[in-house]
Amino acid sequence: MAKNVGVEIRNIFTAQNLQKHFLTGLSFMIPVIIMSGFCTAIGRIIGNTDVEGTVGYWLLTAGNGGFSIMIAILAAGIGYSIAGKAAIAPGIMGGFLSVTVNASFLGGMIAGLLAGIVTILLVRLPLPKTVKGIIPLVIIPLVGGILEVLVIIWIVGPPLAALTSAAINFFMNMNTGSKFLLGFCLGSMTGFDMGGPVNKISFAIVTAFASSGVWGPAAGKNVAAMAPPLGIALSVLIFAPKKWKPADRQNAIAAIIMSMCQVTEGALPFAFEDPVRTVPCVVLGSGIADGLIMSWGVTVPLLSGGIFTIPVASAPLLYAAALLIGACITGILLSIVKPKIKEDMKEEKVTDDLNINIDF
Amino acid sequence: MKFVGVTSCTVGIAHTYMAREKLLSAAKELDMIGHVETQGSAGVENELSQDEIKDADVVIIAADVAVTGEERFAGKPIVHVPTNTAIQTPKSLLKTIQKKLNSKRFVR
Repeated sequence: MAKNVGVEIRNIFTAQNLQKHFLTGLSFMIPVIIMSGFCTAIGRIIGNTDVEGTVGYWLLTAGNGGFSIMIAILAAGIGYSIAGKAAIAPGIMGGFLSVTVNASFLGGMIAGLLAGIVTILLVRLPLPKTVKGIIPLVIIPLVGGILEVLVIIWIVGPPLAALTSAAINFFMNMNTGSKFLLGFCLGSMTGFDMGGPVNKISFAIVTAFASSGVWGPAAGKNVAAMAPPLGIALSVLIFAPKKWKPADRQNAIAAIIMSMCQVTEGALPFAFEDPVRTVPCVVLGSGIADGLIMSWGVTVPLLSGGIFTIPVASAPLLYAAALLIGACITGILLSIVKPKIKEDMKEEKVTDDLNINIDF
Repeated sequence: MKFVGVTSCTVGIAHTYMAREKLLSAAKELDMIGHVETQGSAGVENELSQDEIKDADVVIIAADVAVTGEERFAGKPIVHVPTNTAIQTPKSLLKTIQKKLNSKRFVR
């Protein structure tokens, strides 16, 4: 029995599972980010955010509230992915504390892992059945909560807070060239798989900066996420319409709308059909757009929100310009490398030897 | 081969649904019977019925994140893959599973 728990805990840390747990956490957190982002944006657009009692003030308050709980939701999601419902409470506790001690994103990830591990250990305790009932109700919140407090506040909190502020200082002191490079890296990752796991790694880094109050990477990431579908649509509808199929045209219109709402996934139908040509064009466009934003020093206090973020950018014109430049780079490159239409639909090479495991 | 599947991705708006469509159309081409449930941002859709699960030879979880209700599949052979496997190589996925099941002589 003890051996099983050991295996279960070791399983958490295999690369594939670890990625799954973090992605689950992110998928819990993203709606919170979007919700708070829109509250903040609409609040700022309405204005009067300093005057208590106005609509703008309350919307901004709501947005800030959302940002202060998002790390808690991340930790809860990671815990949930590892150990189910019982891990949510300790996860929220640890994630929230992590924000309080400035360990922010990194602390939240550790808080989530800890919540999951503690929950697995407590649930598997060999206890009589009568006592077992109170474990999820009393013991996990109590022990899990106390452990989270101890670990986050005294053990991982201080070094992570120092690490976070060091990273922020490093970023602040970067010269323009290195900022462009950092932006290019984050942007290319954002564009690379158009909403997939690599995109989410970049999202996580940007969120880490944002939760410490640095919003340059967020601006870059927004632009890098909006550019791919827009760029492809430009190629389909304007730059090289003859190189695309009629079905692509419909997808392109959908892609424009998705780009406006910052749904990078709008580019996916094109990328799946022709990844070898599409992905490099998208990576370059997104990377350069993000790099420009970073080197121009544009900031946006939102992690998502599409064109609705433009009015609240520190320099709306530069912000929109970077988006258009990125999209045009993607569009033009793609129009150049795309071959004339040939009716050879790419077929899957079918094999029965994929490397997968069946658990019987 | 009969299978049931669950698909789910990080944001829950694109890969989740593409994986379902790819699995179902591959199943049709390979003469297999499949039912696939999506767990996207809109919650559970096309929920699997108990009969569908009972009749299935295998459970395919094509997900990048944790899915809910995995306890429904207790006792069934279960395959975990990322959504990308189901989207890019759906037929290979199904054929590989069938071959592995056959070698275990689990197919009814």
